[in-house]
Amino acid sequence: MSKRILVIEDEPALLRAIGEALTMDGFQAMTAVDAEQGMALLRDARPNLILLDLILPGKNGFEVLKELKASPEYSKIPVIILSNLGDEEEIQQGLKLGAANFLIKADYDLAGIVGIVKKYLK
Amino acid sequence: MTKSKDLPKPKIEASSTEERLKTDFITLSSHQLRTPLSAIKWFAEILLTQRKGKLNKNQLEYIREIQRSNERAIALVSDLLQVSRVSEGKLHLDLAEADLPTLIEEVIDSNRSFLTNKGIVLHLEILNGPLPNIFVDKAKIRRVAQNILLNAIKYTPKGGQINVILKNNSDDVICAISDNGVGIPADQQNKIFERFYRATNVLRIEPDGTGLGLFIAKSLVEAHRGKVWFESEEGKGTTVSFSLPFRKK
Repeated sequence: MSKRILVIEDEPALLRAIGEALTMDGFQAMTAVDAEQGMALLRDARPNLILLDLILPGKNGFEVLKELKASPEYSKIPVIILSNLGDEEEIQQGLKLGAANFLIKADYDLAGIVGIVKKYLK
Repeated sequence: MTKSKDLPKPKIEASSTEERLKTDFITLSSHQLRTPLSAIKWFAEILLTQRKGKLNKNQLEYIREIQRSNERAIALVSDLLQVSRVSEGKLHLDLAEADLPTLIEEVIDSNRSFLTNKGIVLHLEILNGPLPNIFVDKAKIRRVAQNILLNAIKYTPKGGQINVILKNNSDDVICAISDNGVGIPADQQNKIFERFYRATNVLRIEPDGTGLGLFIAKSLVEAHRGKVWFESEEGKGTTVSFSLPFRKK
C-alpha cells in the first residue's frame, strides 16, 4: 500500500508540481489548498507525513501546526514545513512548534524534497 | 480577485512603524518573488524527467537553459534578502562551537563537480595546527567560504589550481583561498567588496554573477568580529583571506 502524503499549499502550480512528483515516486498525494481542506482530508485518511506551507488563506501554517501537535491523534505525524519564507525567526518558530524540518521551496528541487520525505518515513 | 493572505508576523524588534513596514516588505517581496521561481524550477524538472513526454534535443537544451536562468534569479533573490538583512542590522547569528577545517571541507565537497568539470586541483593545508574550535554561525561561515571559493573556481582557468590554507594565528584563525586566475586590475581593487561591483575583466569570463558574493562574505565575517582582505595581481591570481576570532569577545 503506497504511503500517503498530505500537501497543504495554496499556490495551485506548486501544489500540482509537488503532487506530480510524489505520485511519480509511488506515493499517494493528498492535496489541499488551505487548512480547512487539509484537515478534512486528514480526517478521511490519515497521512504518513504532511508537507505544510506557511502562508495560507484563513489559518496560516503555524496555526495548523499548533493544532496538529496538540492533537493526540495527529501529533506523531511528521510535518515538514515547505515555505518560501525563510527568516531565521520563522524557521526557529516552526521547529519550536514541532515541525520535523523547514525547507525553503526555492532552494530545493522536487527530487530533493521527495528524498527528504522518504528519509522521514523510514 | 486575489484573496489577501495573512502573513505570519516576523518576530523582529523594530524601533518604528516605518522600520517594521520595511522589514515586512522585504520579507513579503522575497516570498512573492520566490513563489513563481519555484514553480518554474519544479515544472522544468518534471519536463526533464521526460515522463510527461519525450523531448527532442533542442527542447531539452532550452529547458536546461530555463533552469539555469531560473537558478540565477533564485540566487539573486536570496542574495538581495541577505544584503537587506545586513543593511538593516537584522542579521541573526546562531552561534555554536565549530571545527573550521570540517566546515571548509564540507564546502569543498559541495563544489566537487565544479572543480572536476574544470579540471582544477585544490589543495587544503593547515598551518600551526591543530586549530582550536571557533564559536560561529556554521551556516553563515559556510556561506562565506562558499562565496569566496565559487569566485576562485569561476576565475581560475581549466586545469588551474586553488590553494586553501587554514592557519592558527594565536588569537584567531585565518582562512586564505588562492587561485591562479585572472586577478583583479589594480585600479578596481578598492571597489571589490562593494555591492553589485564586478571587475571588468571578469565580466567577459563569467557574466552571470550577481556582484553580491564578496559583499555578503565580508558582512558575515565582520558580524563575527572577523576581517576580510585580499591580494591580487592581474593575470596572476587572487588570494581572499578572512579571519575569525577563537573566542567570542
